[in-house]
Amino acid sequence: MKLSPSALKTIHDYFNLPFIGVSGVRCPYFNNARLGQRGQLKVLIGKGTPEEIVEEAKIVSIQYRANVFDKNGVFNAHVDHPAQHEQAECIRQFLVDNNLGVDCSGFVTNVLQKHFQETKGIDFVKKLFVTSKKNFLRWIISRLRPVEQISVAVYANNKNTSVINDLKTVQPGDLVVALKTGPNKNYNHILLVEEIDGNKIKYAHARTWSSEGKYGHGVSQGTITITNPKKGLLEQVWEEKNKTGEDNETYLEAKQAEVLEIRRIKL
Amino acid sequence: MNLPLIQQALSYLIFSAIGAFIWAPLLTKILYKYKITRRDEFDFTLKGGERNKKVGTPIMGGLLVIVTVTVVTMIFNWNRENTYVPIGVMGIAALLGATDDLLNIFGKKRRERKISHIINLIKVHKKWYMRLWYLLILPWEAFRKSAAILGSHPGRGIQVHEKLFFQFLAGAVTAWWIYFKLGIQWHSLWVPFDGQPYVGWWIIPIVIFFVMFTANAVNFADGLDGLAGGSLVITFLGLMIISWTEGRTSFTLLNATVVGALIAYTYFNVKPARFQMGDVGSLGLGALLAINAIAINRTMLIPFVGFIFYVEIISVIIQVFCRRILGRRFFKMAPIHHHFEFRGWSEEKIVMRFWLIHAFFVILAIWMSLYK
Repeated sequence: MKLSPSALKTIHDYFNLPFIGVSGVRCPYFNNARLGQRGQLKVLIGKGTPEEIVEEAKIVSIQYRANVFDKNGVFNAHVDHPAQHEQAECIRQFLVDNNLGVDCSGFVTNVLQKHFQETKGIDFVKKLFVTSKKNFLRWIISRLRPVEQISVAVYANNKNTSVINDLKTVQPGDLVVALKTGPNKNYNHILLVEEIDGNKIKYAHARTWSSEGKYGHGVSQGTITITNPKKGLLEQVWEEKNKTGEDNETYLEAKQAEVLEIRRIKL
Repeated sequence: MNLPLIQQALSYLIFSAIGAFIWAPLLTKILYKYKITRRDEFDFTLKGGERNKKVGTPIMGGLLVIVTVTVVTMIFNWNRENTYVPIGVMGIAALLGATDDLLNIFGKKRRERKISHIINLIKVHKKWYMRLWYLLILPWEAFRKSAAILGSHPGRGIQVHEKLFFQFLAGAVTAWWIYFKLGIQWHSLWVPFDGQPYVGWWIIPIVIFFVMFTANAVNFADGLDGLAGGSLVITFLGLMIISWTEGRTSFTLLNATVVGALIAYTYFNVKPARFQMGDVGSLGLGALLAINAIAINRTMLIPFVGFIFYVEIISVIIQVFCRRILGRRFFKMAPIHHHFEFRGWSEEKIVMRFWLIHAFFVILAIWMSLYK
């Protein structure tokens, strides 16, 4: 069982941002919490689609005379970086330096938007409850800029999702939500179930690991192998980037979370 | 047809153009000598490749027009009833622009204090008079913060809220002159094909709006070599013709003087520009454009005689709205001439097409003005 083809294509595009003539540019992770930009472009606060990130990279390159791309959007430094992976790395560094990337909830929202558009013909973003009309200003903002307002907390809200307790019933499109995680219990994280292959749950997410340094982070994929369905999620085998156990920082985050749940969008 | 008036106007035009051509080299020399040139830091509109060549080009070339028009008008066309206030308001706006230009080059980066910081200071500062001071400046700081949303970068020059304040002042002076000094007929607003409905004191906010909006509109258009200059030649030529058909001698001559000076300016400003207009020229001439149209009671024609400038400023408003409210770009970059640059149009192609479109709308304005 997999996500819809258009959702899988979106995930593929995040792993290979659609730059002209350069493949393998993995979308970096960017969370606006540190900069706290308000009233900014969606793509500059970690909520952009792959196409928006590519377009903004070209504009930023021209506007700030970085000369990474020419006016047609073609990568400029072919001579300095002859190998494809070098070119991709050069572009990735440019993206990181200019705060272009995606955060975990932005990634999930943009993929699921495509998924539900294709499978149910709806814009699920408009169906999510962000805030009540009593908080009128925030409600208006959530109508005008829906994707920007959807955080992990929105996905963890019982009005939007329901908890899945049986690991055998997990489906593509389900979410692994980790609330109040990290050493200081001060952030949330979310993974998107991309595919169910036998006893393996394949997930994708946007996150930075401490071991990845300034430029190594971005969207990544991993698996949770269900070894004993009767036990909890943390008792299963988590593997990502060939790492398991607490070396796998995604697993570590899940372990540190005060709340760890699998949730399904209610529609 | 008042042929002697148009003959006189053309004489002013020729005289003004020759005068401006004569002292243009001196102005260029002064601008180079004092290094009043375009720098790349704080200028986010400079693009890579071709546009890098603009670094080092003198700015404040608009002084050529402002000074020529002021001198010629003060010597040959100076009267309290007609030209006194337009030249004065143009001077205020130009002074504001000149200060901005100079601060952008020689000024220091402006310090910004957060509103929350000021509120904290009001609460905790140990000196009572400082608490009072912060309380008094709080509304101004709130205005600064909200006006900053309109600007993309604070830079080192005059900030958006300060610009708006001084432009409001220029608009208020114009409104005072129109409402209290020009007579009761200016309390009615000429509307194309619809006579002159009475608007009374509403003329005051209308005038202030047009002066502020038009000055900023011309300012936004000053982004490509020859664009603002060439468009302004067409605009003031149109205003000269409209003033002439209305029999407004002083304004026909004033507009002719501006056209003459602008011809000289644009000659030096076409690509590759010998100098650029700068805020001194764009704000000053934008304000003068609005006043000259208002003073001949053709306020409602300003969006037509200043068509391309209005397109430019509206593109910025749309972009800011979409960026701040909807979180996405409407244009690849604003003002709209940069959008076309991103689309791969050459600078010359954009400028010439904009001139032609602008000329069409100015002709449309002249045609409409003939219907009483």
